[in-house]
Amino acid sequence: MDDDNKLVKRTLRGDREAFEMIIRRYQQPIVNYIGRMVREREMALDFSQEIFLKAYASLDSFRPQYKFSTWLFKIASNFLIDYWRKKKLPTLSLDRTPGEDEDGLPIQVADDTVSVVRSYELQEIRGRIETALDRLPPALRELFVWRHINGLSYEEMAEIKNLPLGTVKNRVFQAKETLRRLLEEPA
Amino acid sequence: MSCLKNEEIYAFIEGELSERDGRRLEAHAAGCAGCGAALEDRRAFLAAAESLPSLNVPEGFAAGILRNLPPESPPFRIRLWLASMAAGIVAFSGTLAAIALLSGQNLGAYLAHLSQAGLGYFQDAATTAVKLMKYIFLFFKVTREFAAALFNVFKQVTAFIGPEAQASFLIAALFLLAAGVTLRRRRFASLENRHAK
Repeated sequence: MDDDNKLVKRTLRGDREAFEMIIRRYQQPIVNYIGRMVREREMALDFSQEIFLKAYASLDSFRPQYKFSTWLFKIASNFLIDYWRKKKLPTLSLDRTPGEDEDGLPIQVADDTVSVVRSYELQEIRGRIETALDRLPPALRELFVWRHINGLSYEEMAEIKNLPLGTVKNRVFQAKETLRRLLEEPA
Repeated sequence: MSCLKNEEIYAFIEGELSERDGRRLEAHAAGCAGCGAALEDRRAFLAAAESLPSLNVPEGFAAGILRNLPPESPPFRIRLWLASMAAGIVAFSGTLAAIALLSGQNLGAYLAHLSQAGLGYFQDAATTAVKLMKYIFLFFKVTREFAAALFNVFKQVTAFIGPEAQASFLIAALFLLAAGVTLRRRRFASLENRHAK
C-alpha cells in the first residue's frame, strides 16, 4: 500500500515510469475483472486501457489513506456502469433483486444430492463456470469475480460499492449459490 | 447440532469462521453424510472458480496506455507551482502580520521602510559590482602593458643575434627543458619506490 502511494506521488510529479509500474501491477487484475464482465477479450483490453487513462486523469483526487486497488476498482466499476447505461443494459446496481427478501437468499440447509461439481474433472468445471458466469446477473457476477477471481476482501468490496458489509456478504453468497445451481443444469 | 447452512459452509471454506465454530462445523460434517457432501461440493466449486485461468494481457498493453497519456502533465506541475507561490505569499503575509502585531508598528510605514532598506542594499551591491569591474579592467590593462614591455626587450635583444644563433638557442633551451623534466620524473620514481619498500 505504501509502495502504491509512493508510485502515485511520483506520477503526480510527472514521473511516467512510476505510472507504468502502477499499470504493470494492476493490469492483470483489471483485465481479469473487465474480461469476465464484458466477455469479449478485445473489448476488455480497450476498456482496461481507458480505465487506466481515467485513473491517471483523476490521480490527484486519490487520497493516500485509502487503498489504491480499492480506488482503481471503483473507477473500473463506475466505468462499466456508464457503459451499460449507455447500452441500456442491466447495470451493476445492487438494489433489491425481484423475488428476493431484504436479506438475500432464504436460509438453506445443505443437501446431499449428487453434484455436477464433484462428478466432472477440474478443467471441465472451470469451463462450465466460465459459461455459467455469462448467465449470472451483472451485479452478482461483479461481486463474485471480485471475491473469487480478484481475491478482494468483503471489506474492500463494501467500500468500493459503498454498501454495508452484511449486504455485500449476502450478495456474494447469492452469487455463489446461483452460479452453483447453474452448473447443475444440463450443458 | 442441526445440519449446516450453506452460508456457514462458505464462511468456513473462506476462513471467515472462528476456530471454535470451524472445529464444530468440521466435526458435524464428518458425521453427517449430507453436510459432508455439501462441504466437499462447495469446496470443489470454489477451488475451481479461484483457479480460473487469467486472461492474457499483451506485451504492449502498458506502452499503449502510456502513448495515449497527455503529452506532458502540466496540470500537476502548474498546480505544484501555484501551490508553492500561494505558500510563499501566505508565509510572507503571515510574517508581516506577526511583525506588525509584535512591534506595534504601522504596517504601511514598515513596508515603506522595508522597501527603502531593500533598495539601499540593492544600490550598495550595484556600486560594489561596478568597483569590482573597474579593478578587473585595471588588472588586464596593467598585464597587457607589462607583456608589451617584455616583448619589446626581447625584440631589442634578438636584433643583435643572427637567425642561426637564435635557432641554436631555441634548440638548446628545448633540450634543457626536456632534460629537466626527465630528471624530475626519475627522481619522483625513485622516491615512490623507496616509499613502496
